Amino acid sequence: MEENNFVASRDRDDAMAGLLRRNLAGDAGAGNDCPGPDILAAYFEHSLDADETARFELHFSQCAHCREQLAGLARANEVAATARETSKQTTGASWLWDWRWLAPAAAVLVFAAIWFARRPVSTRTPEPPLVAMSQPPQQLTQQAKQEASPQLAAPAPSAIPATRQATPPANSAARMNPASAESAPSAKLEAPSGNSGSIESLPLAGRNYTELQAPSKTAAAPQRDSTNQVEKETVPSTTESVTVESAAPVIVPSPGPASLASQTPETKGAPVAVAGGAAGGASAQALPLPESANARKKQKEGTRSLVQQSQVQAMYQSRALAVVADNERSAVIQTPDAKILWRIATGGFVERSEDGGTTWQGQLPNPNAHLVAGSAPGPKVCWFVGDGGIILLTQDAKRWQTIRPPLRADFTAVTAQDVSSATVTAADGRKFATTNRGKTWTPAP
Amino acid sequence: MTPRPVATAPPAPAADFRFPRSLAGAVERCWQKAAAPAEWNLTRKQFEAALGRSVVHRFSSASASPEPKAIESYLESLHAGDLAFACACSAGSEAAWDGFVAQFRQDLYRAARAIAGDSSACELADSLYADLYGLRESEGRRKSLFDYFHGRSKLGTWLRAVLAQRHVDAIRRARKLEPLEDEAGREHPEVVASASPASHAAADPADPNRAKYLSLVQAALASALDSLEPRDRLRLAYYYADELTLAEIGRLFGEHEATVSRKLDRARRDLRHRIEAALRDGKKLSEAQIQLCFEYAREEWPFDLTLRLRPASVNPAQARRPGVVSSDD
Repeated sequence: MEENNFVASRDRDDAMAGLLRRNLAGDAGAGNDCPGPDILAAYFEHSLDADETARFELHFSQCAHCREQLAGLARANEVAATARETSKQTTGASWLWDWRWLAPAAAVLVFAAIWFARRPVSTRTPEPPLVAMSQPPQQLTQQAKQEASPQLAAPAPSAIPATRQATPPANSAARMNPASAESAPSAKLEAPSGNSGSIESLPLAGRNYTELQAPSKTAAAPQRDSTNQVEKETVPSTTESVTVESAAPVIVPSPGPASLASQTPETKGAPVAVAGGAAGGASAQALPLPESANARKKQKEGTRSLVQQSQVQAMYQSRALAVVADNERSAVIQTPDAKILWRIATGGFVERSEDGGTTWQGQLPNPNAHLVAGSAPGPKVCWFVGDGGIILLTQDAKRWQTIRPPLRADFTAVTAQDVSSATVTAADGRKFATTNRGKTWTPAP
Repeated sequence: MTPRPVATAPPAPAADFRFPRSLAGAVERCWQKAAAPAEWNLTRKQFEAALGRSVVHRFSSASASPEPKAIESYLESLHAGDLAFACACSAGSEAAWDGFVAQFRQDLYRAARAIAGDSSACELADSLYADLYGLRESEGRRKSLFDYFHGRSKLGTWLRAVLAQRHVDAIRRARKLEPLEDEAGREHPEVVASASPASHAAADPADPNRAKYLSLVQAALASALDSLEPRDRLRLAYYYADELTLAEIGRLFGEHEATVSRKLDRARRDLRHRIEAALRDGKKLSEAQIQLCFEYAREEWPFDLTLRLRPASVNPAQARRPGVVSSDD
């Protein structure tokens, strides 16, 4: 019964759209009182006073002639604004290549490199093995404390050595709540895969985000002296350790332990950063200090790299937090492979699961898109549609192509047959089909 | 090579408006704000004349002569720099015209493409150039389109508005020249709107009440639309009739697109409830009959009268709407 009512209501909405289209387009115009371009331009810039605005809006609401002009003006203005923006960006970037800047900048870089190579290092120790360590800088810790939600801001267990902590904060709330990603930021060195459960989020692919979910095994991690565990693991290079794309963490939607098996093999084997303190300290250092200046440099770079990645990751994780925290996730989009699913998240993100929905990996095909519906005719092929004529297509579940829409309307549904063929439905109910990836569209019944 | 204006051409005559002494300060401030470069050779008198035309144009519809305070406030709101620019171009200043070409030429062609599509863009922009330059002469003096710029908006926005107006006018003129059989429908859409259901009904003998139901729902909608606030009706028209995007509508109203979306949704729901109430309470239709009204209306609209009422190629986006379209992709 309820379903019938819903269908009837939907039918009426569709009918309303058509009726409005027909009736409003039929406005004959308001005679010879149409204002000139100076008024239209001033109205467009909101320069008219309140009385004039009300008077002319009344006219425009009944005059298709004026509205057509305003529509043209709006489109032309959009193009002009885009051109100005592009011009600004070009102008803004061109100074970078000005030799007057480059020459002194290069000199400063050379000087800095020489100083860096020759400066004395007092912290040298003869310890041979390269040990991954984490020593969160104070300021980062403070910041993370501020950002973290109260339940996540629990201090690090005091038993954990401040300078050698290889495990993530094993606060169960932090595991279950993606907000832990904020409190336990980015650059983390992973303990040996068999002992530690921290899967790291490393936003390596530019538009991919990932999210931390500590497996249940880590619950006891803080109580464990992880130092030895870590020292057993020789990390060849801190820099290398964080550039493993497959180390991208996953989102586990429901509270509760996630299986360590959800890591990809590459992740398990990859040397990655160890989580900072429970409060979120994040900077990691590779300590057993190499003898040569070159090695020191490498070590510094590794540290810098980790810090930078921690910042980027924090950004992505904050997005992921928003994604996970909201209740607006769309329904899951099935693919022919039962284990592979898609869904739409907020903020332009879409998510893909390869394990039947246990874990999700986010992608950002178009940050400005408000996606509404999707259809996945293949394991790696997916179409998404949204407001403002947005149609997106991926063939490899990684790269996204924006398909030119049949009209600039809000789309509410899509049904895809394969990578080339799909039918989209506009908000007013009209359907359009393509068989060549949007090169041409034909009205569909 | 861009044609240059004839420097000897006299400026447009000043409107019959003399600023009272009490407004001398406001006029002076406008002149200072305009900061016209010396190479434009724009005189204060020419600029004052342009200001006078603007004031006359603004207050021409007022029943009583405007208060000096209102004029002063109006003068303060003007884009004095752009007005001086247009004034100098109209007066035939070579330097100003060169500056105009350098600053606006690309913008104009780009805007023309956005409005008229690639095929007609050059023609549209070129004709505007000619009128800005002032090829037509009236009473021995060159008449420039710049004389119609009153400084109420930025010069660039005004130019785009002129382009849009010319394009729409051209489309409507062309439409009037089309065969009479189409004319009836286009010039009197309500005739087609009401006739079409009947013809549809003739083709569908299953329900003899079909035409009646369609007429009822059509009338209820017209009544409901009339009762809407002009701004709400305008928002609906932008969206459904002119097919502007939410962002474009938001730009026109100074609203965020989410706000536009929300208000559109509310207006649409409100309309629907009013129609349902009118059919139920006014026409005493049952729920089943009301449902039929909507069903018939839904079946009816894909014949898309809009497309017949709309210019064939108002812009590229609209040109893509019907039938098979191409993509660059």
